[in-house]
Amino acid sequence: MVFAVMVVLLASFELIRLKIGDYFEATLREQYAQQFQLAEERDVERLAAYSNEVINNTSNPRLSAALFEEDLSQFYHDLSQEMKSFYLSLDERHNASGARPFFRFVRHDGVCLKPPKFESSLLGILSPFEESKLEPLLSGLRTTEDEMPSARSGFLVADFKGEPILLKAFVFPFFDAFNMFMGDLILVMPWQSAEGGGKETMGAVAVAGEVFDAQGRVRSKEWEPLSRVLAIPGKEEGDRRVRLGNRGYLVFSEVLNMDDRFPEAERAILFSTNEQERLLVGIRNVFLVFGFAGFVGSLFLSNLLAGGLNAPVLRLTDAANQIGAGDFTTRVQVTSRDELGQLGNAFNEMAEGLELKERYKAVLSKVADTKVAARLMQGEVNLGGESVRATVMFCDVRGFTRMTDGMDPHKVIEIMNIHMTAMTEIVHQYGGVVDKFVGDEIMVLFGVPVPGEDDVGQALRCAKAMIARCHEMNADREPPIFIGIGLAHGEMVAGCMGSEDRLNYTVLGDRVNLASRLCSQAKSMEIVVDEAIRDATDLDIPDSERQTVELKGFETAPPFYIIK
Amino acid sequence: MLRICLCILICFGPSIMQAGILTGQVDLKPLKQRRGVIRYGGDATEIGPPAPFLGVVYLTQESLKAGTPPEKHAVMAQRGLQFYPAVLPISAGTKVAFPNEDNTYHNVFSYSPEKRFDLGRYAKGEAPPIVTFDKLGEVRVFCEVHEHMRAIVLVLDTPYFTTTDGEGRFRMENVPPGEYTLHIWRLNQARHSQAVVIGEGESVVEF
Repeated sequence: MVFAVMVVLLASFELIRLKIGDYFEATLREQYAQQFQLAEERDVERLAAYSNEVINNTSNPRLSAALFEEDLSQFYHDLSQEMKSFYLSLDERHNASGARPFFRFVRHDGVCLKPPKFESSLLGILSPFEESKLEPLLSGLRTTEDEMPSARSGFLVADFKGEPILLKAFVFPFFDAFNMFMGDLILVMPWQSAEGGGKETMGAVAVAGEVFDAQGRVRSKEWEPLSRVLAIPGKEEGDRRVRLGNRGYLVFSEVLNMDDRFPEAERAILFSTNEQERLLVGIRNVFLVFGFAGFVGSLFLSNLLAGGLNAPVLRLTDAANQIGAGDFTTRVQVTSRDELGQLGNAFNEMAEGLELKERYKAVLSKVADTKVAARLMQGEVNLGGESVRATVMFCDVRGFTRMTDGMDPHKVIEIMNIHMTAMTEIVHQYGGVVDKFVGDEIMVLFGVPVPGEDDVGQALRCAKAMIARCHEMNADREPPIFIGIGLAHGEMVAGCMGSEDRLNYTVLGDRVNLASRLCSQAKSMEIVVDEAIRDATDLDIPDSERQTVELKGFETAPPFYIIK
Repeated sequence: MLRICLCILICFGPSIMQAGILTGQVDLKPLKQRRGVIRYGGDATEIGPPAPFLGVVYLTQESLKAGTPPEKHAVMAQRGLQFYPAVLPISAGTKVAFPNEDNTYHNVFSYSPEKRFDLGRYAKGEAPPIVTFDKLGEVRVFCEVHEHMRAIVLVLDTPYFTTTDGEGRFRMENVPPGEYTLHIWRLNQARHSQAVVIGEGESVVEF
């Protein structure tokens, strides 16, 4: 999530960066165009001004006379005299190299006229370069016969004290009094551009593969990236980015459209992009800080907003879970009257209803057998009664009255409860249903309400287990309890019986009466079963042990057997 | 011309009786007179028409020298911001004066190796130094103030010379009869030389 937000932030920042970059570039381009135009105009103006000066100062016929007489000593002497004031005005422009401007005359046939001797007093004539190197440098610049002579200027590179030095040559065609072309007077100036000395803007001139800064110092090595893009013959001009040192620059350049007698030169203005980069970094930081703060703020806000919704829902969830786990006393606190409040109220009502129902269920389970209660609650009990085949067991305590005589009633209840609980446990263990307790007697049903496959066997095993349990318990209790059990099997009616507002699930029938009667026949720790049970089970009781009991409702006294 | 003739008369008095006259016509047509716009900072209307660079015809003989220069100096005046005449033939050793007839300064000078001089600035009426031309050859004369002004002093090793008129015609008188070499000097053209024989009376040279 945070990552996605960051990606979006950075992407939008990148867009802003591009926009700003474009804007900067456009602004700088405009600035460059102006600067370049200015520089161009300045160059043109300078050329025109110099040209005027030179024409004015060389109109002295002494010069042409000296040339005519090929008196170079005289010529350069007079030239120096004539150009003195002009030269002195130039002198402040000599560049960092310490070389000074000078004049040379290149005759119409290309011969570079040397001053016959060097006098230091000849201002503007003394060349800082070896004389032998001047002719190859300058004679190619001369005005050719078939062209309209006009003043022009361009950049040159020459060797000065072992280093390349940037020169600007101004070529002025020279005429005698009758406008006959005599040659070119060339003013050679170590060059230093007037513009662009600042940190943010740097001027540069590249000539013949060498790059010079605005002060005319050679920078080909330090500015190697620049020399790779500037003044390469045949390469298109354009704007480029370079890094010089640790600063980035946007380079605008234009090939100087000058005479092809001069080497290819390109003027460049380098605009530092550091300002732009700093601005961008600032913007990015603001962007990130605000973006992040906004993100965190919105998280906080949404949390706050969702908290109003979330907390009650969480409370409801908790409560529902607790109810699911069986704790029906759980209630939620309702503090609002909105939809959630209504939901809370409904929830509470539901919980209340559930609690009540659970309580009823618990009560029912206590007053009725759990199985019966379960069937009752499931609505599977036929309230009208049904005829079933089942086994009934009666189990009572022998000599109960005698045993409890004189005993504390509380003690009696305690003893009985312990006994009854143990018996009931065994009954449940064997799948029996405790129908009712009558005094010390327990009535147990097998095969109802859920029909069993082997209710007879179960009942018999249950009875035996009860006897065994009783023996077991008697081992460490005082007074001992002795029980007798009667079992009968057969048809009987099962159902809920009683008044409209009070019903009991029970069974009725002569078999029930028989079982009760057989129970009373049983002596201490005896099980008395009827014939049906003896027949139905694999009890090995011979017929000889058959007894009968007189019982109301039976035409013949029903037989029974005693299991010892 | 009268003066020159006078000089010749004085120098060669004894042979006057036998003096011959030489006439002819020089072709001046291909003369490359460079005419352009004159660069002049002042009032251009002050500039008068330039004196034409006429041809110079002179005779030499092996035994013949310039002889004694005339005492009277020759004159190259500045008039209408131009030199008059444009070409001044003299025999070696002749003095030349450069009087200023304009209402402005002139500064006549020459860098020619035959005669370097610089008269400095002088106004009308001031007498500039008179220059003696000893070495043979063409001395190109300029004015430092007016760059269009130019003239040539042609220093010759002979007393027999004359300038042509505008059509190239010339007439040289008082030449002792004999065999000579005739030379024609024209501006910016190679010199023409040919042998001539001058008898008594008028001889016409055919070129």
